[in-house]
Amino acid sequence: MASYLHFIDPAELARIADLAVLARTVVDGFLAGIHRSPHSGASIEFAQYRPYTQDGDSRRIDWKLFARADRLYVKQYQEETNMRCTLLLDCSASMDYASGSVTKFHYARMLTACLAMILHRQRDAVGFLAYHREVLCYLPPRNDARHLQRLFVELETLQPAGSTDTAGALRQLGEFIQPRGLVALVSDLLHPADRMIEHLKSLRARRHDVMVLQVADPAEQTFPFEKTATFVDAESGSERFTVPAQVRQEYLENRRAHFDRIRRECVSAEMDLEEFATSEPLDRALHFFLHRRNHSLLTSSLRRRPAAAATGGRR
Amino acid sequence: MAAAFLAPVFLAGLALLVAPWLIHRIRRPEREPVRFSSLMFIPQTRREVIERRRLQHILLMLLRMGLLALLALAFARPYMRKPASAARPAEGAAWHVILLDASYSMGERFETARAKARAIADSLDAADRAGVIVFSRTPRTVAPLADPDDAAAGSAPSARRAIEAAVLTEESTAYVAALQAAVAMLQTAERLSGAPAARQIVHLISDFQRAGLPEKTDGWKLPARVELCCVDVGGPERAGCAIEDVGIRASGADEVRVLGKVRNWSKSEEAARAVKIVVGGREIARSSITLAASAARQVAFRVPAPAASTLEGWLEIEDDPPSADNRRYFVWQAPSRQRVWLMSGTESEPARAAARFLRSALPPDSDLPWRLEIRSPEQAQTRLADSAERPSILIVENFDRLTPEACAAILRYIESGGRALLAVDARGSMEAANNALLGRLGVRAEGAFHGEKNESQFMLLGWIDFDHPVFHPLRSPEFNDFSAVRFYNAHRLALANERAGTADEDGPRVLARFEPDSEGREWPAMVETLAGDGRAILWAFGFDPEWSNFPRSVKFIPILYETLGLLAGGAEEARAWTVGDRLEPPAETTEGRHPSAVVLPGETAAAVLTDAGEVRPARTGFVRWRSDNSAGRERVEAVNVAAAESNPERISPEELQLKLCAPRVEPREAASTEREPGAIVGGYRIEREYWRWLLGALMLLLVWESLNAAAVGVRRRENSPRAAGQNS
Repeated sequence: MASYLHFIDPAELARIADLAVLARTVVDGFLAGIHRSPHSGASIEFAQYRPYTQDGDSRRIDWKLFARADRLYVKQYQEETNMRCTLLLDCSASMDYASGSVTKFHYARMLTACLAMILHRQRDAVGFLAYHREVLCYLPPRNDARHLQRLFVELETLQPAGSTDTAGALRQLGEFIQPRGLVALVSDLLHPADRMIEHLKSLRARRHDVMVLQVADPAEQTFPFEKTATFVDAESGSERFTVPAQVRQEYLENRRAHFDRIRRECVSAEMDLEEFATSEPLDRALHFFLHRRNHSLLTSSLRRRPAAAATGGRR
Repeated sequence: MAAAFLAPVFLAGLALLVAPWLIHRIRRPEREPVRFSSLMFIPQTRREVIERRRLQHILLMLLRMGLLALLALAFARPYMRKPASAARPAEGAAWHVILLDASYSMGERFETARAKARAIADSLDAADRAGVIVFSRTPRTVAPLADPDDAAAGSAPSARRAIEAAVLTEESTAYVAALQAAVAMLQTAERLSGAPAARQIVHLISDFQRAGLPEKTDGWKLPARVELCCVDVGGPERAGCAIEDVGIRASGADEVRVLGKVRNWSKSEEAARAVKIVVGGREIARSSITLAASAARQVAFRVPAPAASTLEGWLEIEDDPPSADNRRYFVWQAPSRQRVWLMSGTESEPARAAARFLRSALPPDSDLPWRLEIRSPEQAQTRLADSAERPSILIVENFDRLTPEACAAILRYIESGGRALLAVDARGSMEAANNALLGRLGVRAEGAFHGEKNESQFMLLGWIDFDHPVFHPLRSPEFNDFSAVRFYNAHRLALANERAGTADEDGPRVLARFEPDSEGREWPAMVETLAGDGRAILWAFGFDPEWSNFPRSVKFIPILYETLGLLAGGAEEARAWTVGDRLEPPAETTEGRHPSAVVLPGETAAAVLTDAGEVRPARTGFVRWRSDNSAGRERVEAVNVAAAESNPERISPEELQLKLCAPRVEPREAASTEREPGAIVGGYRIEREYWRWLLGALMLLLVWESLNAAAVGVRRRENSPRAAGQNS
């Protein structure tokens, strides 16, 4: 486990300029680390035979082949997917903050690239929308290699700037995409939450699975400053004279209240919210996403199963 | 009243005040912008918190600036002064004492000083009186203020005559003695006239050399009623070169090295000077040296050792004013080797151990101050009584051969001032020696411990008196281990005062004891005893290896040398005199007699020494002590100027006044007269110095600053994230 964790350490990954290489490296390492065959048994299209291993399911052994070859093989099937996933990336100036070597934007961009690579590998259609106070780029969900390459190019050209309008981006996304997809929002959520939650709920009402990946810098989580200083807002440029020791407690309470409210709203609307610090490896975010994606896939397949059974199911 | 500074150059230190301001400005926290992702969770800091922190830091900065300011001010030595005319008392007759500096550092400035003194005498009113004291190291009253036998005493003409007659001396400066003499003159005049004068003024005319004022004046102050007017004739420093010291060392048998230390007192100029050495009135060598500013160098000459035992001469720098410190006299006495007799059996037993060991320790061709001569008991017995033949130190061993007559001769030698080392090594009866010699010295030998040497049976020293001069040089831990010195046999020495149980301080003194024997008794190993005018040291063992391995140990030579040094009484140290010193006659002249006459430098006739008379040389040169008022066999000593007087460093008249004048109680009404009796320093009278108060304030401020800084530090630590985490 330690070897692949090394590959998804943010500080190490930040040195890789090519996002495609980065995403491939991370995703290959990540998938190889969690299990040997992530696709087995969840599809209906036959793909290949694979030697049976002791930790495999004995029900999937092809006994006919065993009779011919005197060896145990299991059948593997390619997934058949119809999932449309859209990744939203916050490109506001507040994302360009780093107390260490990795900015929140850099972390979010790597995370987005890795998610896109995973979805591509899972044969899902990947869409992408980048925004700050307006939409910077929108790629509708598609599943082909050129589309993924274009997504990476767009990601690499983005620069964080300006203020945030997550609600506006969500509203426009709702106009672009078809219902029943997966929407993943990658943002620091440092803006008023009311309208954003309203539009997230609107997406949810259109049967989208919504997950929010909140990116935070460690300094934002603990406010470790000691020297009295004038703090400057990254988005608005406004200044505030601050004695950190005096305001630390209140800062942490304000922050906790803000995110607790968003979390409550997300839970009530059956949306997932998870916070990721830029200092922690990407694997937890990838796990979270993959788990959520599989859950979404399961629910959609359950919805499709009667139709599949009617048409013959597996061949 | 105005403030002034004795050392205003230190006020430049006030420029450091900008340092705390700069540091606080650079480290001012509110000037450090910190870019942060969002201010939406950061509350507004309360205005009073900001203001309080700012005030705390400003207070800390002001305290630090205050500390630096006080430090600079204290070093600048501020004082208060008043215009002299504003503090003048009521008009009346004034008594003036003119102190004229005649130390050799005045040089040609002495004529300027004389002119100043003359001007003061000329400016006197008819009712005024004036006295004159010419001072250097010792003050000399040349014109008294009042004299019951002289009606003209105290008059201006008398003062003028004394001023004209004053001459420069070769002495150094001493301001306190001069001012004390002036006060004494005023008191005498007051006593004689029956009433004090309206004003008592002391005019100090000098070049104000710092060397003239000692650091500690024992609290003496000029009385408040006496006004001190300083007349500075020094001007800018004019420093030259001086020979500070001369040292002479023997270099082989035929040569001595004369080493002179030459200093260039100038702070800015390099000096190239020729230094010559004159011996017996004849220049024998010359050397050129170049001296950097404020530097000293050594100049060395090799001189043939004199045929006579005394070397007289001087080192001299050429062409360098002032002339008094250009020459430094020296006298060198060739050290005489003291005769040490070993009373041993050389004729019949030439290879005795004592002779072997002592010959090795005192080789004849060494430069040790002792010369070993070996005598048989018979020879010694006949020659010890002869004062011309007797040795300085007598070493006695081979007690078996000592006859009662020889013992009596040794005792007489000791009692008449002789010094002896007695190694008690008899194997036979000690009865004769006890009766004729040892018993009279307060010691009795009670027989040896063992009959024969047994190497497995030995004694060690159990106690050593390291405070005694013999063992004192070996007291340090790296030398005081005597465990390797083994004694195979020794005599039991019983001390008379120990037997009697008395603590007789004049009786024998034990220097070392053996370890306790089987009966627990610690027998003496070495004893010192006095008898008559002499002194003897007894060893309870002999030199022969049968007695101990002591002569073969590393401790032997150091202890032998220290013992001989103690018995010889130490070498007489060369004496050095400066002009004005009260000379002490030497104990004896070269022919061993007490001096009865002295010829001082610059004089040809010898003055007879009396108990009441003081001998003070007024000039540099040679002092000749004679025992019979005839030249030739005399003791010669050198008299030189005080080297410190050549130091051109000056003391300001203001500082001198602050040190030597008592605080003055000013009259309420100032006189209207503007007459100036002399040049009071800058037209001001010095009142009081404040640097001690400033230092006191500085200490208080330092404490305050420390407390303040500590409080700020504590608050900062309390507010630190770690502390906040602990609190939460």
